[in-house]
Order: sequence, then C-alpha cells, then structure tokens
Amino acid sequence: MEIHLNGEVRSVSAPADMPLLWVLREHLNLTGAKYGCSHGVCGGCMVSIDGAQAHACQTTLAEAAGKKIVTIEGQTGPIAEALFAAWLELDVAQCGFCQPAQITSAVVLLNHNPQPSDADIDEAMKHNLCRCATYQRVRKAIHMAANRVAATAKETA
Amino acid sequence: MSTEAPTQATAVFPAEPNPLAFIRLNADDTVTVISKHMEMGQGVYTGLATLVAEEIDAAVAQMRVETAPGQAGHNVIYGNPLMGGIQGTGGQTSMQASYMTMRMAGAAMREMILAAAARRFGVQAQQLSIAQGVVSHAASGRSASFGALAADAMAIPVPKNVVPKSAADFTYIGKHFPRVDASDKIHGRTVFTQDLKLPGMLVAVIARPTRPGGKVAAFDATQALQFPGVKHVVQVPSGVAVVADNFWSAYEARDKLQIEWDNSQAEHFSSASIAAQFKAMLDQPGMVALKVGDADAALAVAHRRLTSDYEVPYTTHATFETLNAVMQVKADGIELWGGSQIFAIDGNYLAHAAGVPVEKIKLNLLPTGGSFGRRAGPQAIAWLELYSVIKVIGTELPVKLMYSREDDMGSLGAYHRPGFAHRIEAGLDATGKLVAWKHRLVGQSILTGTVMEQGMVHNGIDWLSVEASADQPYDMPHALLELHSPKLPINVSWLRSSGTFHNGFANESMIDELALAAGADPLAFRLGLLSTEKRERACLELVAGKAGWSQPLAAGVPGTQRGRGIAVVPAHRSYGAAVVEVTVCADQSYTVDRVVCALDCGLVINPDNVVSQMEGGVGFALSMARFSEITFEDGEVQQKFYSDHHITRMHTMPRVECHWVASGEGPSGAGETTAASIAPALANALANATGVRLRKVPLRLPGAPAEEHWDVPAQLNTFKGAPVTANR
Repeated sequence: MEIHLNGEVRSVSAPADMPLLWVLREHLNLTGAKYGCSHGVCGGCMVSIDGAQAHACQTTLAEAAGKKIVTIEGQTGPIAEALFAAWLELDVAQCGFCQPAQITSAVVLLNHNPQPSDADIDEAMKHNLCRCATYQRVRKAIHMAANRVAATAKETA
Repeated sequence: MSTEAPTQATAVFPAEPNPLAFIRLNADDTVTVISKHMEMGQGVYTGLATLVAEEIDAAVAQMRVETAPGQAGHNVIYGNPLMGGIQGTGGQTSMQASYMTMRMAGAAMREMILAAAARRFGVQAQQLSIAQGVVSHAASGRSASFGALAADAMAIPVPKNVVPKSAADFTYIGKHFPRVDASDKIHGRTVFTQDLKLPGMLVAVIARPTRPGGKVAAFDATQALQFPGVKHVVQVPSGVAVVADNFWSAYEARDKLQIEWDNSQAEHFSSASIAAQFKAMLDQPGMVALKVGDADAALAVAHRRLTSDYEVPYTTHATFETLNAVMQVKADGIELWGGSQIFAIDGNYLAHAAGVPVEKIKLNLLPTGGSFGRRAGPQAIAWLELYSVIKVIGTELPVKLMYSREDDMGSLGAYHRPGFAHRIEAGLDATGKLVAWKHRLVGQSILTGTVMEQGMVHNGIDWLSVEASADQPYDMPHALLELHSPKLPINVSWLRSSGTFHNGFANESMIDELALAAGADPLAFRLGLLSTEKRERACLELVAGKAGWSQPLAAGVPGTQRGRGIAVVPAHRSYGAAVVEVTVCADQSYTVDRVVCALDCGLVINPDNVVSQMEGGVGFALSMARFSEITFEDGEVQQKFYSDHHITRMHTMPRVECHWVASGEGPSGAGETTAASIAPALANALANATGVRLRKVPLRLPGAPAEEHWDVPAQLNTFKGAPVTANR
C-alpha cells in the first residue's frame, strides 16, 4: 500500500487495518509519534493528516492511504521552524515524550489560526496530554512563534 | 521518640575527585558528562553538565551527556550518597548528591587540561586561561581547544587535592543554561525504550489476572497464534504472554486469547472496604512517630477543640511512557536496555530471580518518558516478567516487554501511591493560640518488606508515611503523631512528593481550619507558629508578597465566588509554599486561576529548570488534587485509562508564577517539593470562596457536575470526513 508521508510516497507492506501509529513506528522507523494509550485520549501519537490534527492510533493504514500525512520528522516550513525555535528558547521540554505531538498540534493550529488567543490554544491543545505539565511554556511558545511568523511576514510584505 | 528525616540538607563531598569516571574530553571538541542519574524529565543531564561546564569553562554547545553503566553494588563509583551509596535517582536527591562530586571532578579535569596545555606550550599552567572550551596563553598568543588537548589531558595523573571555583566566579551556576537534551526531544530523535529496536527483537505483552490472588486455570491460544506476527504464546508466573515481532500484533492477539481464570483465591477488597478499615483504625491508638509534651492532657484543657478527618485516595504515576524494558539473556549474562531509578534494587531482584551474579547484568540506562517513582523499584516487576518470558520461550534474541496503558495503570503490575486517612485533633487556648495537636494516620507502608526497609523504616515507622508530619515546622508544645500501617494486597510505591502530599494536605488544611476558628488571617496564624530559624517562614513571606496577600482578591463576574488559600510544606529537604486562587461557578465547578509558589531549595543551579520543576509540580499536584484517583472494586482497579484517571490538561492548567528564596545553603532538590503544598492551598482557597471545607481528595464541591469521561474528540481526525469514536 502507498501512503503520502512527509512529502514522499512510501510503499508499505502492512495489514490494512494496522493503525498508522504502528505502521510509522514498526515499518517506517519513525518513532516521533508515541504510543500512550491507543484510545485517542492522550494525544501522544498526534500527526497531521490533510492539515488536521489526527490520532495515528485511531487511523488505520487503509484510512490514511491517499491522504497527506506529516509526522514530526517531516515538519518543515516557517511555522514549524518558528515553533521549534520557540520551544528551544523557552526550554519547553521536560521528559520530552509528548513534545513531538505537542508541536504537531501547534503547527496545525497556527496553520489555521495564525494568531490564536489563549482560549484557541486551550481548545486546540487540550487533546495533547503532558504528564510533566509543560503547558504554560507550550502556550508561551505558541504565542512566541505566532508573533515571529507574523513579524517575518510583515517584513517581507 | 522522634523520627529524623533520613538525609539532611548538607553538601556531600567525595573523598577525592574522580574526573575520568564523570567527564570525557573528545577529539571532536565535545565534552561528555557521564550521568549516574536517570533522566526522566527532571533536567538532571543539564544540571550535571552545568556543573562540569562551570569548572572547566566549557562552551554550552560542546556539552554532551551520556548515562553511566548500571552498578548494583553498595558504595559504587556511581552511587548516590543520599541513598546509602547505591546507584539511584529519586527523592529529588540528584543535584544535592552530585553537586560536589561533579564540581570536584570538573576542577580536577580543569587542572589536567591546563597541565596538558602547559606542557604543549612549554609554559607554566598559571599563565594559562580558559574560556569557552579554549585554553589560551596570553603572552604568546597560543591557544588550543579542549578537543586538541583531549588525549593529553586525560592522560595526566589525576590531582588529589583540587579547589573548585568560588561562587563569585560562577558563569553558569545560577544563570540560564539551555537544556542539553531539548533539540533531540522536540524533533522526536530521543530514543526511549519504547522506540528502541534491536536486530531480531521480539515484543511481549502479558495477560494478567485482574485481581490479586487470581490465577490462570487454562487457556486456548489457537486464535491468538493465528494473528499475523505472533511467534509464541506461553504461560508465565504472572499470566499468559503473547510474543510477536511487533507490539501491535502482540497487543491485538492478546485480546484473542481464551483464558479461564481461577479466582477462587482472589481478593475481594474495594475502596469502600478499605475506607471502612482505615476509619476503624483511626479510632485506635497507633505506633508513635512523634511525641512532644502531652497532647491528650493539653487537649483536655484546651479552650477550644477541633477534630477533622481527611482522606487522600490511591493514585498512580500514569507516566506517559508506559512501563517497558528490553532484555537479552546470553550464556554469559543478561543485558538490559531501559529505565531504572534504583538499579541496586531492580538489578538485585533480577539477579536473585535469574540466579546470576549481579555483575553479570549489564544495564544500558535510557531516558524515560516520565517516571515520578514508577521505575524506582517497580521497574523490577517488568524485568522479572520479561526474564520469565525469555526463559520459557528459550530465546537468545532481545525481547521487549511492553505494558499497555491499561496494564500500566490497572493491572497487577501497576503500582499506586497509597491512599491515607488522617485524623487531627487540635486545641486552641483562649487567645487563639495552638496548644495541642494530635494526629493519627492510616495507610500502607511503601518500604516495609523492601530492601529499603532497613534504612528508612525505624521502629515500624516508614518515613515515607509520616514525612512532612514528623518534621512539621510549627511550634507545638504538645504534639502526638501516630501511624497505622495496615497490610493490603496492593502494590504501593512512591510518587512525586510521596508522603508529603497527603501529610501536607491534612496538616495545612487543619492549620487553616484552626486559623479560621481563631479568627486569624491564615498567613499571620502560620507565621505566629514559625520560629525565626524555620526556612518555611521565608517561603511564606515570599509567596504572600508576590501573590499580593495583603490586598483583597479581585471579585469575579457576577454569579461566581472567588477565593484564595495558602499553604507551606517541608518536602524532601526543601521547603515550598503556594497561594492558589480559584473561581467557583454557579454549578459548583471551579477553575484554578493562578498559582503563585515559592521554593527554598538551597542554591539554585539552573534557575530555568527549577522553575520548570515548580510549574510541573503545580500541574502534577493539581492532577492529584482535582482529578486523579484509583479506586478498587472486587480487588480490581477501576481506572485504567486517562479517560477515567484524569490529569491536568492545557485548559485546566492555571497561570503559574514561580519564585525562589535566596539561600546560602547547598542545593537540596527542586523536583518534588512544590507538589506538596498545592492540594491544601487549593482546599483552603475553595473554603475561602464558598465556606465549604473539603476534606477529601480529589477536591470536588458538593453538587458539582461529574468529571466528563474523556472520549476521542469529534473535532479531531476530520480527514475521515465525519466525527469518529473510539475503535475499542
């Protein structure tokens, strides 16, 4: 089966009902998306599919085929780069296990909503658990990245 | 008799510096620090790198960290002096235990670097200086990088007597030092045990009985064995193991096992039966943990007496990365990959079970997705299970054991912070002064029956049961602390803040009740009971000042009630205070709006990381204070997923403001203390807002709507074209 992953077409030989999470982790050695519950509750497996937040554990290989999938390993572009930079500058990560999924959700958020309010961040990010509770810095990093992307866009306009 | 805290906040000095055990200069100009502690998010890699970089004047960007080999003996090179010399990470001991070890190692390495450069340049070492990882001789203009000097420097005889930098010369300690592991973590490059893949590796999951005492009577693996990828289905002591070439196959195939359980000997206890047992024990005298004066006599003559019972439930670590391990059993020993907070415990359990000398067990310690105590002893259960699987199937291939989420939180391999019941009777004199305090508590001992018992259980009193009560800070002329440690068939373990969480909740709730009864301001009442040398005083004064305690709290929107509460708790050799502000809505649900916290952890090595730990401590404690609860029915855990054992999420995380007390003391740990003061400050805030005193955690106001069952959110996964529901 072929999937569109991180800008490439990849061929995978795996059961059609295998969750995308395990296709990524076991067949493609992309381990940035994490297993945390397999119930769509923890958000550790968050990837972007056709530009939306998606639980890789709730998505079968068959459902993902033909859609544009982006994992943390394929996150590029001004928004992702701004988020990575803000994440480092604010030292958001603690154990780091959920952080790729947090950033994935943040990329989706800023793509749809370049200047999110705190309430917008609550709504978009409440699906991503962080047991270390880095939430305050996640919020700050999203605002920081949003402001920088906006400032860069203004400069180049 | 008094129970002393097992360790005191003093700097621990190594006998002599051991730079080669802790620092490696590399030819590529990187400097590798060897961490004897497990990195679980607490930032210890960065802390240790900071200390070494400080002493050798390295550049931030050249610092790397790798973990030390696991050593299971006592008084080993990589031992933790605050854990009796065994290798270990926990109780926020790492930076205190390693502070001088790493600085002395760095100071020695600095001398070796200078000696190597002096020899190469043909000058005196005293004429050299180091900045940003480059040694320079000003007079000649010659310079050499650490990389260029690496081999020569590490061959210089290790100096015995070295003098670390004076605090006035610090360039990194107390300043911002970026996390050394951040970039790999955010890009998904860090290899956790879950991510580790070795050639030929198999993956096992185990079906376990759901109730203590349950057994496998019979099983049929026919369907499970037909699942693609499944290699073996075998019975092991803890249940039935499914071994496949990947986790998903093993996990799915486990559902296809037909197992007949023999529950004839299984336990029937429930949270209700435990609560009744604890309540009955509260009426009986317990083991004396602390006795000052005569509390009963003072109570009898007190002007006013208050009695309150408090309850804190069982709860669990719920680490994001579930318990796991990789093991390979070879003819000449056992190799392990994964986490272990206390290898001396986990490794010796395995050595005993496998009948191999512990020296033949090699641990490759990996960073973990949280731990909070989960892998401090309880790691061994996964190793013993994994060893049994490997022996039964007889493979020399590496095998990974994965706990699924429900295994991690709700199986017999789960561990729980024990629930506790407290009763405090206190007396005030006619002026409103506290004159008597009688505290009795009931809950399972964590340490009794473990290898830690000898060091931390004295005269039957498990320090972890009474911490923050046996060493409570207030002036009490008459105080009695009594403990019951009932034995129950529930695996219990430490969990971030451990006993200080429930003791802090009971003590600081009661102090608040007494302040209100005395008509006193809760802050002034506390300060009136704290002698000037108590480090809790400065925490309270700092947090009250920063929170604007002397100013009235701003009112909320019409129909809401606002309140704030304060608390201070000594926890694990540091001291923490918090002010919590809440808004209670008409339906009796509430939001936590703002948490201001203050910490005295001695010297602050990495300010930004201390703040991270405080913020995390607030979020973690709010999970325990508001949401998280493990209950039992018929011996079985009722909450096996995050959907029922809620934790703090983005929308329930308050604004957190963190401050620390400027201290001349050595570092004493920052990972756990903050969590201890949050639940009482929250209960006190809710009482302040509503007049309703909540004495039972999780803190829910009467009539409040139940916590929603968290299901797969419909607004996600929209690429499928319609809202989706959980597939299981």
